[in-house]
Parts: sequence; C-alpha cells; structure tokens
Amino acid sequence: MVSRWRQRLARRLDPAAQSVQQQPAPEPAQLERPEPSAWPIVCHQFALRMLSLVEQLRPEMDHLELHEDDAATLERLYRVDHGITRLRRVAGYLQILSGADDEQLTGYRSSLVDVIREAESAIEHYKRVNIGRVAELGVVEYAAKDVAWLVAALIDNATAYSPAAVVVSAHLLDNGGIMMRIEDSGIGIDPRRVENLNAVLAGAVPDVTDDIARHTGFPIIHRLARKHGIRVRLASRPGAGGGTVAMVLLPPELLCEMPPEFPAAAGQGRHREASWPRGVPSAPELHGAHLSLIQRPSGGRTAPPETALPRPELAPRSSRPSSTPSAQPSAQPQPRLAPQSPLPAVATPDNPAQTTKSGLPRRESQSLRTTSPLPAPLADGPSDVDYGDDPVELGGGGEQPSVRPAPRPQARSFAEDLDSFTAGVNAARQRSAPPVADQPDSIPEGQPR
Amino acid sequence: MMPNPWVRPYVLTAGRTRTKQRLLVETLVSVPRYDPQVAASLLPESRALYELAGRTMSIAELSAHSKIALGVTRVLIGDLAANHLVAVHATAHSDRDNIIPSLTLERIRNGLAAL
Repeated sequence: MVSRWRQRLARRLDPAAQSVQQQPAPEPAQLERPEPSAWPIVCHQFALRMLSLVEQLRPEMDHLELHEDDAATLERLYRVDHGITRLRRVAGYLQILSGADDEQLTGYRSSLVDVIREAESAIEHYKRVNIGRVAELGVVEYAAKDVAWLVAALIDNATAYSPAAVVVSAHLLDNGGIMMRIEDSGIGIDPRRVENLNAVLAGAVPDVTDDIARHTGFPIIHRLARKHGIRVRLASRPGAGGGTVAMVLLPPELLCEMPPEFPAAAGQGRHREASWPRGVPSAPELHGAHLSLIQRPSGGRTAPPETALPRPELAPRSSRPSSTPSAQPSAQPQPRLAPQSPLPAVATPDNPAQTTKSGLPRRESQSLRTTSPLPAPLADGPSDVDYGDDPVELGGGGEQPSVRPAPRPQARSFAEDLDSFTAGVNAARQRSAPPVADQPDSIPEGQPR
Repeated sequence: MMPNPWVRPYVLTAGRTRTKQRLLVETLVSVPRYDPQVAASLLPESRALYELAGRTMSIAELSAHSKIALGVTRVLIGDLAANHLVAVHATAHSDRDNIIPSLTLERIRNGLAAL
C-alpha cells in the first residue's frame, strides 16, 4: 500500500534529511504524530527535478564542446561539464537513498568500457583512474546507469584514499557473469573492517541512519547491488602500498552483446578482425600505447598486477591462451541466453495454463525485468550468502547465481508495492461487484472505489 | 547505436585539451603501418580514429567521420602520434617559417575549383 511505502521511506530517510541537510529541527509533536514524514517524497521530487535539469544541460554541453577549437575555452567547458556530471550523480544518489528509485525501464545499453567511463565522468579525481583489461560485453539498458553509479561510488572512494592511480578492469567469468575489479594502492582498510563491510554488504539493506547519512557511499552501493542482484566484495592486500581491491560481480542476465560502436570506422579498417574479448589475449607491448593510451599521457600500461595478488585464486578464470583469439567466442557461455528458462513458474492463478492448445509455451505479458530469474544473490541474511573466505565462489567456479532461489521477503521494490496496491484495489472492486451487478443503472461505473 | 551520452569527453582525454604537436583542423594524418593487433588493443575512440586514418585524412575529417568531438580527436591523435602509430604530415602553419609553399597554394586552388 502506498501508506506503507511512505512510512518505509520516512523511516529510511527522515534521519538523513535532518542531519545532513541541516533542516530546521521538527517540533517534537511532529515526530510523535503517526503521519509519515514528507521528506523522502520531497527529496525524491527534487532529485527528479535535478536529474531532469542536468539532462537538459547535457546536449547543450555536447554542442559547445563538439566544435570548440580553442584549447583554453575547451578546458573551461570541461570543468563546467564535469560539475554538471557530478551534480547528476549527487541527484541520482539522493533519489536512491530516498528509497523511491524509479524502476528503470529505459536507458542506454552501454559497453562495459563505457559503464566504467560513465562512472569516471561522475567522480572528482577521474584523472587518476586507469582502465585495464575490459571484456567486450555490454550492460543491459535498465541496469547500465545503476552499474555505472555503483562503480562510481567505489572508484570515488578508491581515488579519495589512494594517491596513485586506481585501475578498473572487467573480466568474463566461467558462469557468463563479469567480475569488475577496482584496485587501489592506498593505505588499505583494516582486515577486520573489510570483513565487517563484506558481511554488511552481503546482508539486508539497512535503513538510513545518522551514521549512514554521513557515509553515503556504501549504502548506495548496497542498494544498487541489491536492486540488480550484483555482489560486491572487498579485499585488503596486506603490506605497505597493498591497497584494496573491490570486486563487483555482475550476473549474466545483466550483460549483453554490443554492436560495434563506430560502424563508420569499421568498414574502413583494412584488416579489422574480431578482437573478442579484447585485452585478454596479450596484446603487443607498446610504449604506453595499450589500453591506457587515451587515458593518461604519461602513464604506461596499467594492466592489473594480478600476479601480485596475495590471493591469486581470486583472479578471473577468463584468462586464456593468447594464441586462440578467434576460437573464443564459440567457447564462451552466451550470457544473454542464460536467463530465459523458468518462465512457466510465474503463471498466475487466473491463467494457469502454461501451454497453448497447440502445445506451445504460453506467453505471459510480463516485463523481462520481473520474469528473468533475478537471483538476488545478496540474500537477506548474512548467513544465506557465503561471502566468506571461499575464493572459488568469487572466482566464478561452478556457481550459477541465477539458479539459486531468491527469497526476498524484505526487499520489496516500489513496483511490487504498486502491484500489491493495484491487487488490493481490484479485490475491493470484486467484493463490491455483486450489488453493482444487481442494479446496473443505479451506480455509475467506477464509483464503488 | 547511440553511444552512452554520459561518457563525457574530458574522460576520453583525461581532461587534456592540448597536444605536444601542433594539430590544426587541416593537419593531415595517416597510418604508416596498420597493425590489427594494435587496433584491437585501443579503446573504442582511438581505435576508430586509427582505422579511419588508414586513408590519409585531416583532423577535421577524422572528427566528422568518427563523430568524435574535435578537441577529443586532436588529443587522441596526438597520443597516437606520440606512440608512432600515426604519422602527422607537415602543414603550412606547422612549419616554423610561416611561408605557404606554392604546392599548398596549388592544392587549395585545385580544391576550390573542385567544389
């Protein structure tokens, strides 16, 4: 019901709104009143307005930057652009924390490289982010922005505490998912704290409290991860300059193939060949001209130093002999084929038949979003998910997150609330139907509500 | 397919707008020795420019064909040139003495006549 939804929002955000935004303290009487606070809704509304404003500004920036020939002016434009892009992330995070995150039905399908670069665009120290090896896959429309924002929170955190460059890479796993790695070389996090963080991230999403309101990064990561069944895990490398590795596991159903981004150029290349997955076969060493070529003027190649990892078993298993790049695509699991199977399980009581008369599977008019067996691998209790020390799980060994049942008693989305709301309305309508049917002319349709 | 509009241009160049070499809109660029492995190792924009420059083109043409903003094209080509992946041809303005050679004048005349 809407009232319950509002109450939940109020619980989540009211303390945050008061402590962070320095709002005038509400009168005690106001706190005791059972009525839900309006703050989450206010925050959501303002976040939406801000997002809409920056969406209007972006094409203007694009236009200004496109033909600008003067280096100094362009630099200024970049700074303004950077500010607008960071504003967008702030507004987006406010929207997420307000708990009323809109179901994303549209969006931009985005290659993994672009997801990482969208995240880079929205953080302060983007110049200190290097892109390592990245598999040539994309993220589906409804999740691309959220994945970018999740990565943005992680690299924002990493660059804030690491003086050296942060390396982001994305590797294909055996189960068809992707593991993104965000590696920094900062002072690292205390191992016990890392354990705690991992336990929290594996558990249920907590409400927004005063403490969370001060450290918004992980609550954002937690919410976004839960929303899409993404798993996030941190590992601290011991020793000076060891730094921290954040691992983001994208389930196969969030991934898709990408068409070539620059078809105009593709036809012109003399020997263009499939380079899938890019970077996994060892490319020739150039003087700083590898993947990081367009990233940093001075920096050399910055492939993740996986051999230096204290837990080498965490390294992705997508590394393959470099000699057989052309044979790889067929050998790979096809991620977009994965999540199609258990459609019949969602047959409604109204429509129990799962096959048509001709024996074909009956189609259910439901959105892909809900029918795909979203695994919610972050289960509701820490005990349910083994985020522990079993590295095989993270390495993507035999685990298939998509097969696991997904009990989500607590994590009800806005859409689910809306569904139960409409179901309730329908039930009420049915209950009041008989008297209406007896006197069809006396009560105009629609009135019983 | 529409590229992700929130990948901002400053990220593609790490905020840089200048290049070591002077690259004007009319500066011609070519690829002396195309290497598909190199192409595969480049990020999408650099790869597109590297492949386009297989036919000698000006900076302005490269930008227009790839739909990559001029300022980004310039910096990416500058990086490719710094790694000797593309060759930058001398132009009238990039030469130290600011004299336009007669050959260039002839090319301009021919170009105008062809319009």
